[in-house]
Amino acid sequence: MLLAALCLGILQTEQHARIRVVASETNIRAGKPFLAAVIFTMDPHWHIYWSNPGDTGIPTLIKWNVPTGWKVEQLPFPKPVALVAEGLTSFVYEKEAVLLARITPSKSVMRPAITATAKWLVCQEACIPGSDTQKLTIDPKLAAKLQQAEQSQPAKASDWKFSASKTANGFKLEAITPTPIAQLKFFPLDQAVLDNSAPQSPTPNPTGFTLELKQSEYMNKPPTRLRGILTVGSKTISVDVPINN
Amino acid sequence: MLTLIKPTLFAALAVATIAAQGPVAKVGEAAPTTVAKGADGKTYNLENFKGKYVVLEWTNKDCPFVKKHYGSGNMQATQAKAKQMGAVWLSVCSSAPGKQGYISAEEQLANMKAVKSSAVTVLMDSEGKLGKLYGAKTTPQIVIINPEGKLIYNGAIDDKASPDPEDVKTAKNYALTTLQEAMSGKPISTPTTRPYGCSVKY
Repeated sequence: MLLAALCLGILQTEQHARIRVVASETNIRAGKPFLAAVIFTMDPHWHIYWSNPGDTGIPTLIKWNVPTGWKVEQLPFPKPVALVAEGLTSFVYEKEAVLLARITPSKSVMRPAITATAKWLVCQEACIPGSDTQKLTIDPKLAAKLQQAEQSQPAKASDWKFSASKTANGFKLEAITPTPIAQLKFFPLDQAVLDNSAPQSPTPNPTGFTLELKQSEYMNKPPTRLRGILTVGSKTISVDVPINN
Repeated sequence: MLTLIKPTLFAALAVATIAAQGPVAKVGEAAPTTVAKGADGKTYNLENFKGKYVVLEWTNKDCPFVKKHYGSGNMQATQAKAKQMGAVWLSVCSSAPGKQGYISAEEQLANMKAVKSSAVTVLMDSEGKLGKLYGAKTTPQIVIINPEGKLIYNGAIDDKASPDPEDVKTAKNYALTTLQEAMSGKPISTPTTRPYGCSVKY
């Protein structure tokens, strides 16, 4: 018994990241969308990666398995943290990550088994690949957590206007903003587009700002669109604009 | 006054750190030459390989991504194919003593034998000199130098950035693609790619 418990303990600590597949809605009704999430919990100092992992790591992948007729929409991953180590900048989640999806039940089927499969790489200094499939459980106590995650989702800002152009060694993102912006950070959604370690400093102007972005040394062909998220204070604004040459 | 001095001091330190690292090798330019000690005890001077294609493969036997390519036999098959094509394959271990993947020269030789590596040897780069000179970020990472001594490729081993050994079957192998293109006089289709794997443990 003791040996088994010890072995289990070792296995669990070796994992360093665990998932729960949850929803808080107890009243699941035909045709009415509800929020569900894969919640990652990481051991202290360990991290998993955003959709664009940055200079190291691999993207975390989520696959929802719902019955025929049900619809599932994976929502954009929340803003990551830029982690700098050994001159490499990676985009990661530490401690906890709530990765949301919106599920729409079909007209006929009620309360079937829903599962989500996640694949990830969890790293401290060394990295361990992991994967797990869990059944959806309903926990009304998680309502506030899911709601908060939904509110901090990257979202389009209707009062912001973006345009982007190619420069000699990168890109220029221009924005017209409702209020002056002094501090922000742009996270590129696509890999091998931006130099993840290059400093970013917006130049304010009367209508907004311009942000010079240095291209990645691994960029072979310039992309046609600049895609990413812009974090401004507590807001996370999604950016997806064509790049003019 | 103190608040003004502090940031300036930090800025100066940051500049000094960057300068100390020196310029990193650029694709399309002359590959920096350097001398490194092999696990076999011999001294290797990259300059002596002029006239041949040289492949440098950063490795760390405990990294899951390195295990993916050695466990599936993909790395050994790539080494054997490159050797057959006349290229010189040198593995490089830049792990610092005490860090993941650092093993003694004897252990490197034993490991090469155990995995049936076709590399000439493993260069013992525990000070990270070679790694930093070529801007090696991950294990595995592949660098290719042409017979004229020009750097023609720096990046990933293939285009499937995952730790899953199943993916090697469908992946595009950048090391072999680059060698094939260069040897048939074609332009290199992807001279740089984002390397994937574990960070090099400098």
